[in-house]
Amino acid sequence: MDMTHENVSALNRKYPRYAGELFQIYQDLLYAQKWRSLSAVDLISVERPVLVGYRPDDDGKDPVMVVPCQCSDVLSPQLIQSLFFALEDQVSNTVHNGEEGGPSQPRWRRDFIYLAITAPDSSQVYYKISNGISKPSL
Amino acid sequence: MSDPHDGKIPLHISNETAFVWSLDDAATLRATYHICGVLTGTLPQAAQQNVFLGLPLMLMPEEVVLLVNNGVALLIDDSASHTSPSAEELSLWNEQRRAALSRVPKKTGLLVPPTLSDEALKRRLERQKRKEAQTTPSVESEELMTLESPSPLTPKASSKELSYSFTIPAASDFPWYHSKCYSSIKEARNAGIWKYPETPEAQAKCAVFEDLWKQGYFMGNGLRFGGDWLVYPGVCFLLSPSFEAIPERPKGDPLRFHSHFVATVLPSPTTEIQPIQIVAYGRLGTATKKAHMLCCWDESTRKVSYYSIEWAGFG
Repeated sequence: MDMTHENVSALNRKYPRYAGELFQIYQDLLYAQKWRSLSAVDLISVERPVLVGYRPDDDGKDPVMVVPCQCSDVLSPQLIQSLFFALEDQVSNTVHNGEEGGPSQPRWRRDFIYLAITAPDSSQVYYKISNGISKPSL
Repeated sequence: MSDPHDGKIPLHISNETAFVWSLDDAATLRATYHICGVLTGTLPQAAQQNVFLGLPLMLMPEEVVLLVNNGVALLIDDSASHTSPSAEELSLWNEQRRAALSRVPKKTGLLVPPTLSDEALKRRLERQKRKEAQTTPSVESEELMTLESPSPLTPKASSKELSYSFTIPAASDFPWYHSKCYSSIKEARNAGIWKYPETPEAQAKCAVFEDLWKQGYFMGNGLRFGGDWLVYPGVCFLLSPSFEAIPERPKGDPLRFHSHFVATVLPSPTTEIQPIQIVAYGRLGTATKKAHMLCCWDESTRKVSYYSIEWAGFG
């Protein structure tokens, strides 16, 4: 599978507001963090693009969603709830190798997402947000 | 004699703060209702430190609201409960006090310091015996508020066995004390002794606190970890032979466990959160082996949504 940055170009055009952080996080996950089967997804219900893939140390069958955002963004519990609702519905247009309507994606993990926060100096941090009361990992 | 509090735990309100003065009530709150509170009283035996404290137990405002709303406790206006005594009542109390004082042993003139060595103590006791032959029993009056002189010890007693007894009255049992009780928050608010909750944020905190409490969690103050509360593991369940879940007694007592979560209350689903706050919550939580929990109250659905935040572990 040829994972090039063109994967995200369609969503960059559709959501220019999120283009910067989407591309930055995509690059970081793909090349620095070595994520597998990384793809950009249009989360229509929340009107923003997200990334879906597998961590290198993750041998689970369900990919995880990563939501890029800037340091200057404004989040809310309503947005977080919408993201988890979208996970439940999995209503999205998947951009898969630049082709719409590609092979159906596996069901995403619904118990948590990663929030990728970017800063103007091109640094990024990742935080795990779990749905519900989830004990910290050891 | 009928219980003036109808079996409810009295919470004594002073300056809009609730105190529990009874040791039994404090134990009941902890063991039965997993409400811990904070001990704030100075220990007489260790007055010059504040690591170990005693009664009274001070409750958080959310704990007070929860206990009163669930019929477990009632509020007492302590100031109004202490009325002025009549001349007869005062006279009677004075007579009783004089009678109690007359039973106190005569002052021996010697207060044995606890640091005295055994040999020095023996010499002092022999001197004391020569001066005074009389020994009297110690007074056990609960009404006395004076320092009781220690009884003379036998020569075999070591300095380690010396003890002082301090009687701190935990209940006002004066004849002119009439507890002015309020069994609901609304009544107390109308009387002007309790105001919490006043704002939507405070109401959200009360709702979230009750929701967590109903799930069996213990809560403590979260100031040290940048949140509203620390949330300790709650009720654990055992499996019966027929695989039926049996609730075990609450296991999350802060004396035995570290907390798993630091909780922050968001009063509405539209409350703004800056990403930098997520970073702060996540870093502090992960560094202390906890997860930061966002508790969002929705007034329209009257439900709480929980989201747990921790560092992702990469990046």
